[in-house]
Amino acid sequence: MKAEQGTKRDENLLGWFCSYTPLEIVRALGFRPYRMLPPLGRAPRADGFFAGNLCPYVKACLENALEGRFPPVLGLLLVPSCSAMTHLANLWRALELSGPVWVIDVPRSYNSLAVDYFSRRLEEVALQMASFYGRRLYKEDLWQAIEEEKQRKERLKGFLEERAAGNVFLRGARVLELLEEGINGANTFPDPGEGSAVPRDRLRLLLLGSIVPSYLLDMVEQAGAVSVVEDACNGWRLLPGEACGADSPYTYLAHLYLSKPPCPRMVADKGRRRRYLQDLLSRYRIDGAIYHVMKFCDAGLMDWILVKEELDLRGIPVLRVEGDYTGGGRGQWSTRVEAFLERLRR
Amino acid sequence: MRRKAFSPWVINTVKHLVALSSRAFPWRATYLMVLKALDQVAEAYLRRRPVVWHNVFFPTEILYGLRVVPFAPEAASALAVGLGLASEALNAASAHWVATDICSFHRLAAGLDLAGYFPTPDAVVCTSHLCDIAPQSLAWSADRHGKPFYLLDVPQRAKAEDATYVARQLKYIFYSLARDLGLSPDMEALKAAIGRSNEARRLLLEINADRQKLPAVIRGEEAHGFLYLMLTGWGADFTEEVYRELLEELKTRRREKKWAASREKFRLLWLHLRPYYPTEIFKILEEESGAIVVFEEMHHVYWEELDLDRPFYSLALKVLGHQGLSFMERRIQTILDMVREFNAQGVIHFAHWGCRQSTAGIRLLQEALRRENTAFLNLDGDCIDREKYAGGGVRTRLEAFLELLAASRLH
Ligand code: SF4
Ligand code: SF4
Repeated sequence: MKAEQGTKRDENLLGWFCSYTPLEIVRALGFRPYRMLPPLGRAPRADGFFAGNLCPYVKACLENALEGRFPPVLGLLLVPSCSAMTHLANLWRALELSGPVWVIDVPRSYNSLAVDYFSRRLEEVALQMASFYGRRLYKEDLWQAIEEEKQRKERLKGFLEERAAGNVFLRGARVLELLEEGINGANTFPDPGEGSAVPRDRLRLLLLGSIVPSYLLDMVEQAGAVSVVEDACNGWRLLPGEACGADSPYTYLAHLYLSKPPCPRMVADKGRRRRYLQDLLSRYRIDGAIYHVMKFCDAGLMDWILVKEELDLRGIPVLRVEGDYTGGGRGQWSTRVEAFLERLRR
Repeated sequence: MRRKAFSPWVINTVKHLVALSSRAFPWRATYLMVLKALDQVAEAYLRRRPVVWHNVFFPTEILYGLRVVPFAPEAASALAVGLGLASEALNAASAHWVATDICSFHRLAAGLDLAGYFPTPDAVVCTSHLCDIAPQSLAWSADRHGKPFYLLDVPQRAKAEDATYVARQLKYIFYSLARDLGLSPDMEALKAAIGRSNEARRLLLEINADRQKLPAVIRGEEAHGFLYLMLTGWGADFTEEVYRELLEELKTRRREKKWAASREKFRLLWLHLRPYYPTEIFKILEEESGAIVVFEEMHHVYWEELDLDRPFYSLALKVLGHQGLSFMERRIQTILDMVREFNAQGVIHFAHWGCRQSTAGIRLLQEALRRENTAFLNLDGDCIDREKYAGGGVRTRLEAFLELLAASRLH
């Protein structure tokens, strides 16, 4: 079973999906990390390979690979974050889609056992990739990549925090774009002139979900509110955690990623996820929230309960919308968003 | 009012009635297992010892080694369907924002707990492998009850360092549970549980070897009931007892030529679980058509004998040995081996709605089976939620599958 390949391979692109993927290793190996974030759309071919009740984002990834719509990559560095991702890895290999699949198990908790294990796995996969692709991997290069990545992400973080505090403003969709460009290696940061005046007297929303579609942000803005924080895998979850001094770059990376803004898959870390949300809610003024649940995402479906509990405790209303990564149902969403904002205004 | 259905008094009465009606059970081993399971449920409600909730992939030897009472919400959900509690509990779950798109074993478990049917846990343990929803749902339960939650984080790979990682976590969980529950972490008791698990494994291997022989003496519908032990009983003394009884009965019936069907026409392998409410599935297959389900993938012994001197490490290897972990090739190869060993002409996968791990990769399996000329049926449905069951459609699909089997035999 072999699917058609994309066009000519880029010598340097290596695909990745999950926000726990250590991009520093990819860069230190001389690759350009490329996030496999396909455009919204239907996935008729992928539907033939997957069962109906599977994550539509994962289906869209397969669809775009089958249709050769992704830029050709030399391989994938894949975190099996959920069953859907594991099955994507299976099919990617079985269909011989571009390049090998390097699977890196990321623990679902942040403790000393997890750090120890994750750092070993990081080193192992880095050396395997170096040997497979005939590249050298020096520790100094890795430290340098860590430093560069840190600076890039710190600047992004600084900007996002200023925006959440209401000191700067940029359209939500543009923020997501900047983040995507940033993590793919661009050093483009919003220059002061890019943002427009901070809108006053607008409802300030927290948006949550695995992947928050940018048109939802447009919708929120058109309805007269603003999104100030996006707790999502294409939002704040891309920001780094805290890493204390470590002798080994792999241990450093293990701390850095395991302590980043926690996503629902970190199931042994629910307490930390709760505290993270509590912290966001106490630091920034949030008038309401919209949770975009990806259909059939077990982690998201259960996280919704946790988030709802936290928001209810503070009397912050939340709207739940369900997405299937097709971009459809905008009319219905927009009516619901407008009604929700109306309720908030009353 | 209905909550009282689970009171110790009622359970004892039920046990008494079951004890009086041993003849109603086609297998003495089933009768024995039901009595033992009722004992265990009663113990959980009487709370004389700490109750630890676990998912069905957790190595329960750890729990029996600590002498706590294990309680598996997923298995309890299956039982609750038989007691007619499903609709009420599913509604309770929905009222608490539990989405209908998640696996109904966990939806029902959440609902049963919210409605007060479950014994309160003293701690909750869960593995992360295979199933995404189990750890999410059990972590939420632990949180709701304000009890400690321990996750056994299981990687996809099974190399030495992965086993070490899992073993270290198991050790940590064993000692942490003992501390939290005020028990003494007795290594001898753990070894004894592991010894019992090994003996039960040996007996199950013999049972499975017997089931490979032609013709079958036990029907799939009957054998399926014993999965309760596979999912909750490793390390318990009763598992050994029930398997020993079952093995004896299998041997006796084979000697006496008491076959599962008067004429065994086809041998089938069953993947994943079955519906726990009454359906016609096994009647159509086994009674009407002589198509006997000779083995269930869930009864596959995927691990080596455990090493008493390295309890945590060998349990880690056991966990990592599951055919569903890692790339799909592993599960496919295991299934192809089963088809050969059990002389099966066909495979049925019950595609339980909500279970991503079992259903998502079926296309690859289907192609592998086609290459081996083995008939395959992917039967959509839901093990718990009877509203998702379309009897007419199921009959049509099963009959078409049986025709296919008959046609392939002619060729
Ligand atoms: S959205 Fe959920 S199901 Fe989809 S890839 Fe992410 S974690 Fe997995
Ligand atoms: S049926 Fe599947 S999703 Fe449900 S509990 Fe079992 S493994 Fe998990």
